[in-house]
Amino acid sequence: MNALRSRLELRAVFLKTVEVADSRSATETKALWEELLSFIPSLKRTHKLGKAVPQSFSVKLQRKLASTIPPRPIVQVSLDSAHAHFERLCRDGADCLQVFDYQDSHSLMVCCPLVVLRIGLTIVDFRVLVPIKKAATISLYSNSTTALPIWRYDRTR
Amino acid sequence: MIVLGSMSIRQILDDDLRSTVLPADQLLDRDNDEIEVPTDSRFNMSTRMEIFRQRAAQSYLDILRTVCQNRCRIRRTLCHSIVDWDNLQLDSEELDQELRQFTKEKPIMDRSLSNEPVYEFPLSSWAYFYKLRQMEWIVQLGFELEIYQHDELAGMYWYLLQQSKTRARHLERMRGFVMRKYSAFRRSPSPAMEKHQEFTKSLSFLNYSMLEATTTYGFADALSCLFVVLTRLALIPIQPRPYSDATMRYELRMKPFHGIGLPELISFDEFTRQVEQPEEDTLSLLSYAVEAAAGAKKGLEVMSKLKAEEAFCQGSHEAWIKNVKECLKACIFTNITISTVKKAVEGAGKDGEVKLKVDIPSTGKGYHDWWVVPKITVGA
Repeated sequence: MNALRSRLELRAVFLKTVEVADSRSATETKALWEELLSFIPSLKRTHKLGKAVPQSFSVKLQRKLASTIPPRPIVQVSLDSAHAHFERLCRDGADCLQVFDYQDSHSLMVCCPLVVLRIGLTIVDFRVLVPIKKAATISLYSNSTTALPIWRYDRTR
Repeated sequence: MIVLGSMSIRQILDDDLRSTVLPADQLLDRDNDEIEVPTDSRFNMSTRMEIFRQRAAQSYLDILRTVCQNRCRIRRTLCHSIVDWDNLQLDSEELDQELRQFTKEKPIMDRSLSNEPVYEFPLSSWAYFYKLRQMEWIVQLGFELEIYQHDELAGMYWYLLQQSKTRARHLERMRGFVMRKYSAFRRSPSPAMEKHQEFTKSLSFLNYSMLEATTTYGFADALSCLFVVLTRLALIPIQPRPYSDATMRYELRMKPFHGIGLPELISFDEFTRQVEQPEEDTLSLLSYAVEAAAGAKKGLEVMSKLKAEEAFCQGSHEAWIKNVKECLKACIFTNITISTVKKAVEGAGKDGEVKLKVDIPSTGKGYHDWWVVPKITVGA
């Protein structure tokens, strides 16, 4: 019961986070990412209570999420690495925000590449773009290759 | 243009200009925008600064965008960016000349420097500074991305040395002008506190940048000499290249810098002569490398002790310190390597064979990807 509740709460917080992730003026973004992180231990603990339902995910769904041609096969990810990806996503999401803590122009120029380098461009990829008002480009988006259906595939790199 | 959610690009650009070339300067005074009389000098200053900002904003934001990409793309984009900044420098020079009549700048009249009056050209100085930095990054990323072959490392480290030396000299020029303005400001009847702080910040940044530039050129010098010596001792294996020659390779490596007016690219023969230094013998090259590396090591040690505000890396201080410490480790290793080679050369005597094995680490295997330090083992 608790396991179900915590998963529903996780989804609610995640949706809230994704909603404000684009905003550069929201102050609660960092706290939301950290709240997401706090769900992970209970996720790991209660996983064995669940039963696998392979029909919940299909090639058709994957094709909708990953718009690559030719269509990718379903990515099989072990549970441990899925948890690790999620943890990293939340941590990097919170870390990215330090770019917005402006002190001076030179620090900004040093901070941007170092943040990107630390987060890395291998699996989970956050690109911090300095937005222009007209184009309203998103300030950070995630480019994850995990198969967890809650991620958005965005291969526009 | 809104940047970082709440700031205007003007704030960031003005901040940058203020901390490099225009501390407490009338050109950045926001009150100038209020003047509407077209004959007033402040109105003219304000309109021209706005023209400059519109021109420079895109290029400045492009650098910030570029550094967030993957390393290969950063390098490729920088190669295009420097051409843009070269044009910006030229346009800024014209603006500087126009602004002079409104700021009533008094040039430096110093026969030892030049027979002509020396004007500041603040905006084009600023553009030149960023252009030089980007050119250096292109070469350094080239080392990280393993673009340069082992036998080209001597030449490319020599080129990096030239770039950083040029940047250090340019920074000295910028600092000279800022010091001059600061002395004039201190002599003024009522010096304001915040203007005083702007001068201090600007001088702090220029001093830090000079330290960084001189450290880079010391280290690059040491590595260049080391690689030249290893080439002379025929310890660096050269791949057979039946379809190209050295001139073509030089053109290829210098392709990104070909279109840049200043600093001008030297000819291949001049480049070869400067890199190989045929008039210096091996031992004096090595002694020189030892001195250069020692200087770089001192510089890096000073940098590793800087606080976030002093090093202008607030928000990423730990990552920056880690980077500097890795450079320092690479520098210490370079010192050790140079001493090993020196001992071997001295031991071999005039015509003896130097029995050393050279192993050049690939990216990720050394202490720092931008400093390729060869591993030397004694024995054939």
